[in-house]
Parts: sequence; C-alpha cells; structure tokens
Amino acid sequence: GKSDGQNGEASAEQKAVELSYSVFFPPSHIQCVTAQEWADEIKERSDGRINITIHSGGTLTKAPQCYEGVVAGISDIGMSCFAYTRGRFPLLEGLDLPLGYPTGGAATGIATKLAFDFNPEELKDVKLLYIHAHGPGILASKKPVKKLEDMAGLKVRATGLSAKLVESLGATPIAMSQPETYEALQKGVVDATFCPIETLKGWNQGEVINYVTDTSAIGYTTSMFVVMNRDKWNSLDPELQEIIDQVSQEWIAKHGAAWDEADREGLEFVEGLGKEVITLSEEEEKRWVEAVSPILDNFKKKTQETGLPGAQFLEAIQVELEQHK
Amino acid sequence: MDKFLFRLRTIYVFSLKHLTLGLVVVSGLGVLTMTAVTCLDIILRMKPLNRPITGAYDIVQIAGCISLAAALPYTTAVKGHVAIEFFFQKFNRRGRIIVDSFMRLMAMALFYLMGHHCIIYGNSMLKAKQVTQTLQLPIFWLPWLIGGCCFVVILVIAYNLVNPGREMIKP
Amino acid sequence: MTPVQIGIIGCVFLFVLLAASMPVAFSMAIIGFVGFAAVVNPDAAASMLSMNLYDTFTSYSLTVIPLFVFMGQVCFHSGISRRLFDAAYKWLGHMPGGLAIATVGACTGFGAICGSGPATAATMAAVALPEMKRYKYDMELGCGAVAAGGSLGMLIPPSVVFIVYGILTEESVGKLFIAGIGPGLLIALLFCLTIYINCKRRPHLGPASEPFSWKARLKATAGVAETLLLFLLVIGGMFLGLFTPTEAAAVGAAGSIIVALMRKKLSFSMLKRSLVETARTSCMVMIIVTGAVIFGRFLTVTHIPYELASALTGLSVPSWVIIGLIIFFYLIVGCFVDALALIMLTIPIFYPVVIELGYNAIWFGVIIVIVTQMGVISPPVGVCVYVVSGIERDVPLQKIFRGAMPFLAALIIAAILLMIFPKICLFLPELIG
Ligand code: NA
Ligand code: NA
Repeated sequence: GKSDGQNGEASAEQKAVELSYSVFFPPSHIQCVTAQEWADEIKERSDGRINITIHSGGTLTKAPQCYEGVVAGISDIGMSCFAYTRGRFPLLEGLDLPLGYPTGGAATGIATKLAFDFNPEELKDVKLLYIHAHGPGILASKKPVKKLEDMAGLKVRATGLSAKLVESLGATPIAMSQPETYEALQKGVVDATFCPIETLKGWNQGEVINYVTDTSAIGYTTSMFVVMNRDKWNSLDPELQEIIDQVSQEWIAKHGAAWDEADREGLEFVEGLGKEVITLSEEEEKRWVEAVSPILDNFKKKTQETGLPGAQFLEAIQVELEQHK
Repeated sequence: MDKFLFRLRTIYVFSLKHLTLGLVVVSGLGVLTMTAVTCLDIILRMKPLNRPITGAYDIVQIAGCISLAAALPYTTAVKGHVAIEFFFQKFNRRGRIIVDSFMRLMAMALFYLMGHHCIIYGNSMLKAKQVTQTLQLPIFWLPWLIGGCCFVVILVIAYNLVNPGREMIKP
Repeated sequence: MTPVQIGIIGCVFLFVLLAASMPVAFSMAIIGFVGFAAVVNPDAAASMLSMNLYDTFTSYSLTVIPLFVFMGQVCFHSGISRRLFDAAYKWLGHMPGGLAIATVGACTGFGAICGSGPATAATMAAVALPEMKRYKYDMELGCGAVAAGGSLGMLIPPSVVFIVYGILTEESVGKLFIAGIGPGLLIALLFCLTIYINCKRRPHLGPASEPFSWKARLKATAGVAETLLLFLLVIGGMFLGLFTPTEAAAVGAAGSIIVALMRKKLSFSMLKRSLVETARTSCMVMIIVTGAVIFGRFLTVTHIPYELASALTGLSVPSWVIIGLIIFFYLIVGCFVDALALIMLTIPIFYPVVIELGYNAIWFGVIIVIVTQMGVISPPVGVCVYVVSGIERDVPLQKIFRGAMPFLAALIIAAILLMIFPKICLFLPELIG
C-alpha cells in the first residue's frame, strides 16, 4: 500500500515539502504506529504535497535531545517527553504530577487542552502540534502492596519526578534506565517499579513481577510533545498549515485511545501470566492522595516564585479531571 | 626580540602542557567519584540501612561526563586516538607532512565546530533553566566544560601541527 | 543529488580520510557532519555534532567503560592479573597458544558481568596483553584474541543488543538472554580451537612451554584466590540482587583497589598511573563511539540502510538465501554503522519477513547478535579492534584486524552451525518454557 502512495506523489507533485520526524519510540510501539498514521493522513489530505518521514527509535535524535533537535532543525518534527529535560518546561511539568489520571485518553485530552489554553512561554521557540500522555502509573511489585505501610522501605525503580513520588509514599527510589529494569526486578535490585501498565508488556517486565497495585487514584502520567520547527512551520502554505493542524486535532483522541488500548493489552498480558491485580480500598486511596499532596504544594510554591500560574494550572487540570469521573 | 618571542613560546607550551595535565587529574578524580558514589549508594541502600543517596545516578552521570571531557586534551596530546597508518607510511616525507598538516587542520575545524556548538547548547540550557533529573542541579556548565576542553584540544593539535612527528606529552 | 548518492559519496570519502591517517573517530565525525549538512543543513549538522558528543559523554549506561577500564588497570598495576596469568601459564602454557585460550576463557567469564563488547575488550586488553607479551606471544594473535573475546560480551547475558532486540520485536528479554548462553559457549569453544589450530600451524604465534610439574601448578593456583574473590564479589552481588550490571563496574573497580590494598600494592603512583591510563583509554573509546553515532545519524537521513533492507526483503528467492543475504547485509553495512543504530533501523523491516518465512524469532535474535559480533572485529570500522589498538599502541591497526580474521571465520562457522542446528540456542529457552 505504501509504495503506491510514493509513486503517486512523485508524478503528481514535483515540489512536495519533505519533513523529517524524530520519534523516540521504537517503530513497533503503538504510539509510533499512530504517528505514522498521522503522517500518512497528512500526506493523503495534502494530495502528497507534504511528505513526512519518521525516524523512530531515536535514530535521528535521542529522546533527551529531541526538543533541542527540533529547535536546531536536526529534525523538522519531534516527539519526546517533557520530563527528559527537567526545568525547561516549568509549567508543563505540572501535567506529570500524581493528580489521579484515570486513563491515558483522559490524560492526553487534558494535556493538549491545557497546553493550548495556557500557551506558556516555554514552548515559544517551536510550533506545538499536540501532546499525548500515557495512562496512570501503577505499582508493579514482587511483594503485595495493599496499604501505604507496605511501601515502607520498598525499593522502587523511579527516576526524576516519580522519584519524589516514591519518596513521599515512604519507599526508596532507585534510579536506573528502563532497559536495566527487567534484570533489576528479576534479581531483586529493586522490589517494584512505577510505570503505566503498558510498560509491563512493552518491556516484558510483567514476567518478573508478582503483583500490580492499581494506584490510579494518584495516577501520574508522562506527557509527550509533538512539536515542529518554527521556521519550517512558518515557511508552509497556510493551506498546508491548516491540514496539519486539523489532522493533529483529530489525532489527539487516537493517541489517547492507543494508550488505553496499550494499557488494556498490558493488563491482559499481566493477568495472562497469572499475576494478581490489587485494588486499593477507597479509604486507602485517600491516604495515598494525602501522602503525595506535598508534591503538588511544592509545585505551586515553586511556580509562584518564578511568576508562573502553577496553582491555576493544577486547578484547571483538576476541573477537567472531575469531568472525566 | 627573538629571545623574547622564544621565551613567550616556552611559557605558552609550558602552560598548555600543565593545563592538559591538570585536566587529566580532574579526569581521574571523576573516575574515583563515580566509583565511590556508586559503591556508597549500594551499601547505604542495603536492607538494614535503606538510605540510598538521592541522585546518585545524577552525580555519576556528571562525574562521568567531566572525566571524559577533561581527558580529551590529554588523549590528543599523547596521540591516543586510533588511526590507520598503513597507507600513510607509503608516502614520502614531503607527502606525509602535507597530508598530515591538512588532516590536522580539518581536525581543528571539527573541534572548533563541536566546541562552539557545545557552548551554544549550554547557553540554551542556561536560558531554559534546564536541571538534572533527580537532584535538579543546573546543568548548563557541563556542555560549556566540554566546549572548553574542545578548545584546548585545538591548541594541542596546533602544537602538533607546528611540531610534527612528536607528542606534546610522552604517554 | 539524492540523499542516497550523498551517502555513497560519504562512504567513499570516509575511506579517503581513514587512509590519510586521520584518526578513525574524527574521520567518522567529519564525514557525518559534512554529509548531514549536505542532506539537511549546516546549522543542524553542527548542533547534531555537539548534541551527540554531550549525549555520549553523559550516557549512564556507558559509564561501565571507564569503570571497567579502571578495574583492569588496577588489576594490572597491582599484579593481580600477573598472578592470574602465571597460574594460567602453569596449567595451559604447554599447549600451543595456551595463554590466548585462557584469555578467551577470561573474556567469557567477564562477558557474564558486562553487557558491552568494547568495555569487555578494553578491560581484557589492559589485563591480558601485557602478560601475553611477557610470555613472548605474538601480538597479532594476542590482540586478535582479545578483540574477538571482547565481542563475546555482547552474546553472553547480560547483553545490550538483546535488550534492544527484545523491545523492537516484543520478544522476551529473559528468553533471549538464556538463548545466548549455548551459542556463547559454542563460540568460546570455537575461538579456543581457532587459537589451537593457528598456533599448531604457526608456533611462533603462541610458543608452547615444557609442561610444568603438578607441584608448580598447585603453587601458582594459590595466586588465583584474589581474582576469584573479585569475581565472586561482582557476579555474586549481581546474582543476589545487590546491584545492577552497570553498577557492577564500580563494585569491580572498588574491589580491585581493596585487593591491591590487602596485597600492600596500593600506592599513590600506582593509582595515578592507573587513572591516567583509564582517562586516555576511556576517552579514546568514547570518542570512537561518538564518531560512529554521528556517522550513523548521517546514514539515517540518507535512507541507505532502509532502502537496502527494503530491497532485500522484496526478493523472490528461497528463504535460506534471504537469511543469508540479511547476514551479508549486516556484515557489509555493519562496517560503517554503529551496531545498535543499525539494529534499530533495520530489524523492523527484517523481523516480519523472517517470521513470515517461518523462522524462530529468538533464533533470529541470536543470529543478529553473532553477526553484530562479526561487525565489531571486521575492517574498516570494528570498534573492538579499535579499542584494543588504542590500548596496545605499538601494534598497527591492520595487524590486529589480520589477527581477528581467523576469529571472524569461527563466527561464520558458528552462524552456519546455528542455521543447521537451531536447537543450539533454542534448547535452553524451550527447556525452561
Ligand atoms: Na554480556
Ligand atoms: Na566491521
């Protein structure tokens, strides 16, 4: 199917705009597949006048350099996590806080909406296309975790923001890269990991844990940007800009649905392996929410110091979250 | 006048040598830091203690980067970079000097580009207030340091360009 | 000019720079920069240079390189490795190439700690080469054995390549790791055979000694105790879940310092020498890694690997020919591109085809790693050979590549054996289920 399109494009339009797109996900990942569908759709609607080539798996720019790479023009478009360059996105960092996102679809919708509503200074050097965000981070562990006390002294794989989360729950964060986590869980370097349930399948970590505690009450997320080089964007015909904007708008829901689908598959995978899924009682959930609230307060305080509307930002997220419940 | 210039040159070479050697000391300290912090973290997080070093990962990453950047001028000064000499040795003396000089100029251009853009990269991190993952330490100075070391490498290559066929520092 | 044409010209100029004695790392970085500038634009290319330099230098997973090199240096300067090789010589010295065989054994053991080929090669080069020199071994054999032995680190678990393959194909990393054990041991055995046959034919490579008495052997074996202790500390700690393989490098370095201290061999000057050597070696390795990454970025934007791989899978020939061609593809393109980047670029194209042809995914993963191993010891871009050359500086690069050739043949034999008897790698994973 794909090769037909390429032939058609060559004959129909001589000067198609060629855009490169750096995606840190491996090509088999559902988010990369969704991005490819996005690119294909844009190509079709523009009658082949926009041709986007995806470089997946970080082969053009690595995840932490993706944003800067778009600014510098190494790739025209980029998809990566805000969290990989801490401090660069002081307001949007708020999206990743443990606010209790119920699903990836909800997180994706809220993240994009708020980013466009607040239109923060930190994204001024690029054109924001949309944001998507994974489903609630859950706790996958070797030993059952049914109450907050079970967290005490537990060694949990966590980096950056989720390290603070782990600390506030009374556990011990240990930082390591995602590829190392499989062996670390297997050998017991860590007792648990915080991640969306999708990761348990994608990185095979479901094989080496025994329990999954549904912590979506304090569900954090990792929001991922899809941004374009500003000059490249400005150089496009308004008509083409419109097409990209429109397709992007439509694809927000698709990425959200893709995250939910991935989470569903992750859950199936874990259950298929015979691992137990633990749900927290309502009372217990309240205690967990209580435990992580200092993280939110800290965010509000820090943003206030730099004159950013952090408090309003979190409030807006919480209002949106109410609608999803 | 000649004597003055000669002395100036001696001082310059002396300073460059000692700057390079000073940097390699920094590099060694970086390796020791990585070793110490990782081991300390492993011991402290064992069951009875349960007190790992928050941000050990960040510290090891930074120490590793410092160690590698600071080793750049020394590695270049002792001609530690791997090259294929096989075809080169087939040239006559004049050919060798010409090819060698040309290669060194290209290498200098490469390090100028890398150094210059590392500084720009650092500036961008400074402006954006980028910090490390866990400890949230400012990070802009790390690309600056790499950039600075790239500039020292240019000076080292320049020395080799003027004094072909001998290392600035004996390994 | 199309990007593909620019890519081909870039590869030609890479050869020109390499032949003109430009350091390997600089050659790759310069061609990568100029090519990227031609395909994309100069500003982006310059940013790409600095970002990849920064990224490699701050990569946590690559910190194993300086730390393992440091461990190797301390072991060498404090005489730990000397005693180990004395013991090995007493036991194996009467065999042609006995010490080189012992080195392959040590590489196999070390491969179980370290997931990276270059790090294994760097450590073993620092430890084994001076010892083999002491016993008048030819450096062509010695360097070749260390480079090839180092590549074993990629097949014997833990292995970075398996992890990446597992993610790309959603195969179980655990099963891949287990599948690597059988072929890893087979290749170690083939390497030993290679050394033995080679030294039988050309005895000057690894001169055999008179057999030693059992008394002398047992006496020398006492000197192995500290190495054993070190090995137990690192392997045992990993097995007990006290630290990750990356952290094991730091534990190994600290452990070797403690052993040196116990042996009263720790001095300021010895530590200084070890650290300076560590700085030089690890910087040299990391600059080569950076250069390979930069050159890989250039090839990525030219689409050459992608186009080649797509063309290959479209052929209508018998299935074993396609597998053979895929292996050949990795051999050739692997000469230019960093192994992990190549796998990222091409596995998504090859994997569905291979599965469609009815081959086992785990088996294909093992084949890919073995082919990658071939890539790191074959000219012109063979990272493990570069690393050994950077440490053993009196030996010209081409001599080490020549020394690695017989081992390359052994790897090809291993790949053919695996094609005929897939059970070699599938036996263990199937046993465990
Ligand atoms: Na290994
Ligand atoms: Na090669």
